[in-house]
Amino acid sequence: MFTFIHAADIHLDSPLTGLSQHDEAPTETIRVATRAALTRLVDFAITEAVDFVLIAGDLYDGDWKDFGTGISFNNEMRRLESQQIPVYLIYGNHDAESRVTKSLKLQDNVHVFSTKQAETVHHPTLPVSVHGQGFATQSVTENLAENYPAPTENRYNIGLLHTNLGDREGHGNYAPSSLPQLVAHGYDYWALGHIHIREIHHKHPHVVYSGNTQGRHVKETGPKGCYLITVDDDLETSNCEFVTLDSVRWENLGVDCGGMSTEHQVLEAVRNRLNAALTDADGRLLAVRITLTGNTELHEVLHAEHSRFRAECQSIGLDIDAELIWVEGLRLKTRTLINPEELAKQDDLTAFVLDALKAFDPNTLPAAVETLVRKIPPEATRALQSSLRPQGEPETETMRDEISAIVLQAIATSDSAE
Amino acid sequence: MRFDSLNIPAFGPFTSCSYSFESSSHDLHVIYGPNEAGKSSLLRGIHHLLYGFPASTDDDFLHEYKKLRIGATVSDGKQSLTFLRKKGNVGTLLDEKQNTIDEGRLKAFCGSVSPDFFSHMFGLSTETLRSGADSLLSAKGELGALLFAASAGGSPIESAIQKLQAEADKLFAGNGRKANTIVTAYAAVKEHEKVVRANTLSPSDWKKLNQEIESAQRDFDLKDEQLNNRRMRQTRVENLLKAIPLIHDLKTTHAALATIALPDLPSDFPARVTEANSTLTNAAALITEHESILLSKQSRLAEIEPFESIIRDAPELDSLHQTITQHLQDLQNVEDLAVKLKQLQREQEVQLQNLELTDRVNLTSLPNVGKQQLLGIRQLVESIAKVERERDQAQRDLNGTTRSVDKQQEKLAALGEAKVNDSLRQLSSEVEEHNKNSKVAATWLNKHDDNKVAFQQLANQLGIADLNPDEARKIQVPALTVVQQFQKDESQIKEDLRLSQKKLDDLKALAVEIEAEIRCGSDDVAVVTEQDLLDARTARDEHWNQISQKWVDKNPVEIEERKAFSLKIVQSDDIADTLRDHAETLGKITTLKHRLESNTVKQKQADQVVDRIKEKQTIFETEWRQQSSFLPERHFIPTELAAWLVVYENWLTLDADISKLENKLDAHQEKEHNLRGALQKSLQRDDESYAILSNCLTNTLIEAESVNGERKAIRVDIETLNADLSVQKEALAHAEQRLERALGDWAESIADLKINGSASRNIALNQLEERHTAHVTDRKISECAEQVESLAQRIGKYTEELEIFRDRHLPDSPVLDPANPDIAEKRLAELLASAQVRRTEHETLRGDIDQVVETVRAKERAKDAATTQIQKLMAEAKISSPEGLLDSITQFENRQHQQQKLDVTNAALINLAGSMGVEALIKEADAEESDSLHVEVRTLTEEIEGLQDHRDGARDVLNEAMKTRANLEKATDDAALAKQFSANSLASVITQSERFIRLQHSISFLRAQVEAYRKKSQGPMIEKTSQFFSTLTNGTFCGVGAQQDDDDPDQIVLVALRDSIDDPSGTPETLKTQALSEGTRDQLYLALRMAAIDIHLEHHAPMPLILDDVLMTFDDTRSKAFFHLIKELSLKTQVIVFTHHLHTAKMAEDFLPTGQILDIS
Repeated sequence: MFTFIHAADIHLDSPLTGLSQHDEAPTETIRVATRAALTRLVDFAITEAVDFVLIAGDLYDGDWKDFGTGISFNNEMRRLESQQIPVYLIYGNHDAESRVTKSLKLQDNVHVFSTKQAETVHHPTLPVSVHGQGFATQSVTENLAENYPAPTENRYNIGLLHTNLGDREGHGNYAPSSLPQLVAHGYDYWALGHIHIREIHHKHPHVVYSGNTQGRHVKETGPKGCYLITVDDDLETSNCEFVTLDSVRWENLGVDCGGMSTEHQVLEAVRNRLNAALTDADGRLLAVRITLTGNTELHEVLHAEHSRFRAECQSIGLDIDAELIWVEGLRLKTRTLINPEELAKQDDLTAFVLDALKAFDPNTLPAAVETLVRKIPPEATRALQSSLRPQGEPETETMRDEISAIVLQAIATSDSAE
Repeated sequence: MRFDSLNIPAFGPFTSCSYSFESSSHDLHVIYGPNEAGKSSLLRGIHHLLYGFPASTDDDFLHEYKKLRIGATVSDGKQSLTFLRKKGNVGTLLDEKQNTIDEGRLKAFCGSVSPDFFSHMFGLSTETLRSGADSLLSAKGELGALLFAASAGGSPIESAIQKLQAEADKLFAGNGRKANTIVTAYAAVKEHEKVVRANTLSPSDWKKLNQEIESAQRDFDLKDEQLNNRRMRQTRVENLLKAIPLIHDLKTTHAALATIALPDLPSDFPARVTEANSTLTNAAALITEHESILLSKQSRLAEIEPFESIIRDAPELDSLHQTITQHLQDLQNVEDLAVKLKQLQREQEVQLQNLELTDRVNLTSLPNVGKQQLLGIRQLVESIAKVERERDQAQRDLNGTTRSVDKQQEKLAALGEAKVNDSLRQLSSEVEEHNKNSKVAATWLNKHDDNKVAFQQLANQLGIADLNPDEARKIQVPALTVVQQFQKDESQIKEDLRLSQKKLDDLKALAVEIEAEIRCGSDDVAVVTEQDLLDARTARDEHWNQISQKWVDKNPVEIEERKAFSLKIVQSDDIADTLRDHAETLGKITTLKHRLESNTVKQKQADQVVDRIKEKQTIFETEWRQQSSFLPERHFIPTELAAWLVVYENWLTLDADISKLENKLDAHQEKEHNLRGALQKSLQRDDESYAILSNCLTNTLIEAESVNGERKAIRVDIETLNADLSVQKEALAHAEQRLERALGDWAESIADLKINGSASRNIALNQLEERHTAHVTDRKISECAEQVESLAQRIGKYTEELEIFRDRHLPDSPVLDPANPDIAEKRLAELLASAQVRRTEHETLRGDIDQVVETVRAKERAKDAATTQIQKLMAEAKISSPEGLLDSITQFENRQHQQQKLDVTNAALINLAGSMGVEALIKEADAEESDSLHVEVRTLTEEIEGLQDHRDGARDVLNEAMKTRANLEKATDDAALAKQFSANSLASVITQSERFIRLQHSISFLRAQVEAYRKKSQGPMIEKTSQFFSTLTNGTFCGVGAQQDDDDPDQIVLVALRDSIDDPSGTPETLKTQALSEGTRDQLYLALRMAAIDIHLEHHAPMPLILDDVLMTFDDTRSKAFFHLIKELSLKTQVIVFTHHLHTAKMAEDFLPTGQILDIS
């Protein structure tokens, strides 16, 4: 029996994105989050005395040029070397563009597979053959797995591959492959990288994405880590155990405000939800987006005073534990209790405004927004696409709802006292 | 909706108040109340009443939260609702019995008017008027915003936009370089990126530095090794030089120890000797000192004077001392009591004179009157007076009622008798009954006419209009259930046919797909089966058997045959290869073929099913034709006929209803004819109209009923007066009885107290009070005399005791003066205090002497023990006299000193010897010459100095390189941190930009709406506002207008219009709002708001308009104009005006009935 670790998409020293800086922010924790995940991986490998470690690509983050990242990686590999634990590594699309990849001399225990053709490496002591090929360039579009060598007889065969299995939408068509193809190839275990969501696509033979080791933004929620694989004496994969490695846990917390009528109720619900999530995060820093849902009479005030409520949520996070909670943002998906038709009956003016709101077109940008777009960086503009150019009716409807809430609340609350 | 009344059990300053608002053509009401009367509370209360109390309210200052209640009756012309509102979260709307009722019932009256809209639109106060008027200035009259605000009930849209704009500006203020959030965040992104670039570590820098470090390390290691070798030798030589004198000392010490002959003694020997000698010496000295002290104290004890005699009397003397103050007070009290006694005796003399008595003996012979008894007598006198008054009143009432009865009897006699007989009454009830029936008959007639129209319509619809009604009634139609069954059967057949056909079509389509798939598979692979393989192998094996048999038979095998055999081998292998290599494809094709066969079978079955259903359809159509051909030239389908039958059923029902109604109407006509005849006869009139005759009968009866009613009323009055008369007689009798009883009690009382019966009740009462006072004074005199006696006894006893002790302890002093006893008492107290001091001193000295004697004894015991210890120590040191002990101690300490020296020397040598050992060191030192060693040390020192410089130089180079590497590592951490900060700042840019976009959309939208609303509503609003403004200003201004702003031509602004003085019929002058007086601005804004309300009411249900003290800046003429205007508005909706000015309320009287002016002060 032997064990090994399958990890991928470490993206060493990649920053975590989407978290606005504030005075009490635990920035140091998130700065080292990806490094910490690698350190935990190595700690775990040594503690468990695994027989080898697989890294299925995207060790680095493409545009990051700092050599310190490579030094950091080598330091960790040195620890594995001291325990005679070999590491098998392929480069992914992000590694292909990394300068660190080209200039770093790795430790002797780390085997990096060729990027020119698939090759096979035999474990020095175990009946294990690892087959793999790295990315030579950032955009490899051919099916690399097709040219992987045939399995070696009487050995446990592992395919190490950075691929977009089944051409998943939104992940770039890198080295595409299909599940039937991999299943039919004859290997015992396919250690895949590239997709950041862990998933066991097939068992016997195993086709597995380990996901990334540390979530980097709010779309990468939940526990992140690697798989510990156990292979029995008959060279059969007997167990796949997920091992958590992340030090920053991303969550998107939905808070149902249905029926709530006071701000206090909403904020208490947020507090309770944060407390529960913090418990689940088990001592990790919780990077959290709060999404309010449900039909509530507070819909208008929430939208009109979005900044204030976001600050309130951040304040609650700080109050609970400034070191362990970082509120990424507040999203409002509440629904109004106001029936526009009823409201329109009230007076001609309201009817007039509501009628105009139906025809509101969020794609016609006010001049001030046009100016803003010229002033902010392109990456911000890309992130703002759903606000600047809502696509399809759902996005347009959402935008219209938000503007509607702000406008109605502005009219309702502006009185002579202000 | 309007308020019929307000009912306020408990709210704000109101307790159990209710106000009703009478309905009239002008629904205008004025509520007057001075400041603090609660007008503002009432306005607030009305809002709570309609929409519920807020979570917290300040209106609980008089009534606690849970008791707050405000109620009303509201109506809308069709219905009304009386309700109460309580404080709470749910179920706060109550009916009159305080039961919870559904909010929907009130909402039906409020309609779509929300709480906010009600507050803004229908509740106008001084503050809102004032801020609205100010907005005329702040918005610079910008028309769109003003119209928008007025129509929104005063919410200034411009301030809403400004609020949004302010938030947006904080985020991003356009091209300017202001430090707003988004710009700052983006600057931070750039700044952090700069830090990233500056701190990024390149691989070449890192490698180069590492090479430098390795080189420096090697150089340092070499020089460090050389230096260490020299240093080690230097240390060795120095150690030898240090060891040489130590070795000499070692030997000297050993020799000195050998000379000391003292036996081994414990380490505490010197201390014990010293302690024993010290104890002995100290004990002797102390014994001598204490013996001297003892003698001194015994001498002082003998000198103390005696004190026992006076100490024995101490308790009694203390008692006298403690009571001397009371004794002196007793002497004073006796004097005071004597004065008081004389005063009382003088008062008694006066009282006896008033009672005409000669002395107090006569007083005691008269009965005493207690305080309670006196009170009872006084109440009896008052009671008698009260009963006398009641008796007089009863007499007056009786006389008045008797006169009223007489008057009513006279009026009754003056009224005549009315003449109405029973037959006329009977006829009246029949007419009344018939009239009631006539109303019903009218509805029958209407219904009959309606039914006839519907009857004809249905006949047309059924296509039987041309038939004779009797024929139409007799048509033989199938039952509806039968038709419905046909309908179901038809649907079922059609559905079955559709499904079967679809199934057949699907199967055919599937077959086409399967065939295509098989063709596709067959193109790639030759189609072979396991059976093909078995057959090929069988053929091959058989061929082999034939060939092998030929070989066995040694027959020749032809080349062609061999080729054929080879071909069979290849064929079977090919089939096997194909089966293995394309197992999946072949298996799939086989499966597809099976599916195709199965499909063909299913198609045949489906085809048969379709045929069967079509046969069934033919049978159905035949049967249906038989059922549905009852009308010539009309062919029905089942659905049509079912509907036709329902209509036909309705037609028949209608036909029956019409017949019934015609019968009823005929009967009613006949009855009216009969009644007309009877009326003509009874009333003796010739009128032909039944209605006229009926009215004539009614008037006759009413006239008769009126006279009867008046007589009846007078009789009832007389009965009531007679009843009053008997009650009043009873009351008079009762009063006289009570008076008699009271007078009897009085006579009895004064007889018991020996008062003259002829005296008036008040004089007798005065005498009794005087007697009571005299008795009280007499009792006080007796009590005072008793107190004097008691005090005299206590004074005598104290004086006697004091004299005894003075005589015993102060025999030489003068005899006691009873008037000044405190002199002797004071001297005795001083004598006692002095004796007590002496006694204390005596006891202290006795204690001290005992203690000193005990100390002397203890010291003697210590002295003996020390002597014994010295003898024991002498034995240990083996000496014969105590003087030798000091010499022993000297030898003991010398030996200890030498031993310590030996240990130090040994330790130093061990240290110097290091790992080689002390013996080897001594041996080496003995072998070396001291001088040559000194020379070597000097040489080594010079060498080391040179090597040290070289080594330090190499170390500095290495440290510098290491420091550089540490800096690079730190820089790389800084770069990563800056990268993270950059990402965080970018997140801020994105988050804030999202908000900014929404705010700008909202602002842009609102501005567009303001302008659009202006264009839409400008005309009607300006026209209406002009009209109202002209009225409010009594024509000073002829209206308002819209014109381009001078400063900003894109803006349309509101201006006031005034007729030109020079040319009144020409173009009016325009005045900007800024040029108007404060009051006129108020009136302009009020005109604007009322125009908005007026326009609103054109399309919405009425809602009460409440105006709270809006006339603050109105003079009397404009206030009157206001009432003119508001009175017009009150034709459309209820208007309630609050005012705190009495003269405004008075002014309102010119416009309203007094019932519509309420005073809540």
